[in-house]
Amino acid sequence: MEKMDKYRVLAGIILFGSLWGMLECMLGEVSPSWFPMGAFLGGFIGLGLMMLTRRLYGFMWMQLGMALVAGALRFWAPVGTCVICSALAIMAEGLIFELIFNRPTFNIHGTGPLDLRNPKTLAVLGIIAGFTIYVVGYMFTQVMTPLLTGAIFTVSNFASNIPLMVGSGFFAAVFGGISLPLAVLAEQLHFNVNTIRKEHYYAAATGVSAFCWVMVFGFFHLL
Amino acid sequence: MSDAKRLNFILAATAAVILTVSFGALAYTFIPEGNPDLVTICGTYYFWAEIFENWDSRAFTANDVTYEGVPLNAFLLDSGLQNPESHTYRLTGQDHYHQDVTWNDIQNGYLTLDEHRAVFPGLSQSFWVRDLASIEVI
Repeated sequence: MEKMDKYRVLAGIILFGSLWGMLECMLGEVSPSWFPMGAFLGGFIGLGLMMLTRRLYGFMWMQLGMALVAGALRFWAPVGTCVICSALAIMAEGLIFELIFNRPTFNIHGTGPLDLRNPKTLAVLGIIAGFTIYVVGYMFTQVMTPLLTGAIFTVSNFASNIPLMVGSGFFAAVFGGISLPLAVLAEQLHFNVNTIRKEHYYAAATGVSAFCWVMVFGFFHLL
Repeated sequence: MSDAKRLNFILAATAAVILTVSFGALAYTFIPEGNPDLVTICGTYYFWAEIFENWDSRAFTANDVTYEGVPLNAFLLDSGLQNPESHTYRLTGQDHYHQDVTWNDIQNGYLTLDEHRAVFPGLSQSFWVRDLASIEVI
């Protein structure tokens, strides 16, 4: 992987974080009640975007930055009464991703005997990552919501909801098993960030990021 | 066994455990807690079909959405509970979801016909319990 210009990485963090944040805000509004949208957002959209940027930029801790941007944008969409909890949960998902994929064993750019780039290995890794990222985010919300809203938090209450949290993680695991191989292997999703001309890259990144923020502010605060 | 094979084996085994356990937990949440046709409030049974015929419901707003529901405190007082303000209450859904609330929260809560849900306008949505099965004193 060639060395990446840090300003391109910064623009990528804002671009992909804004896209992720906008999808978190908007898809929750339009999903039917039977669809596990939370698991889809964590296991498919969140994990998929983080892995895609890891593939394109090859830059560790960039994905935590994306999660911070996505969480910041989510903070401005008043869906649910504990908006800050949802924003913090997205940031926690980014941190979990970094803790998993910064390990040398799970380096997707690795070569030789530990080359992970085959569909079966990526699918099982996606199942593990999708489940872990979503369930940890869910548990984080369950702890933070009562603490930040001044309501009752008890360990027994938290423990009794574990089957529900783990159960909903099943869908995130399935979505993760699909999104990870797609993000790493799909040729259609790959481009060399370094070869894009500077003026085109920054203009596109600024335009798309601005569009995401305007969409969220417009939809939730102006309409 | 080579490093690559060992890694693949560990990953596959972990993924299999995750899928099995999470699917088991998901199946468990589909086994309804109690009878879906009624709700138990402090030991008294109320049939959902009768609640909205026999009790006065009113419109209220929560999270910018207008709902129609019966105030929760009416059921607790009807059940004959003594000193309701001194207790904490556990709300349990058909899917075994639990939340604990105070009498102060109960006084601001409603039972809605839509999804048989306990709605608390002043609390985070994670405290709202869908397909309510019971309210018990803890």
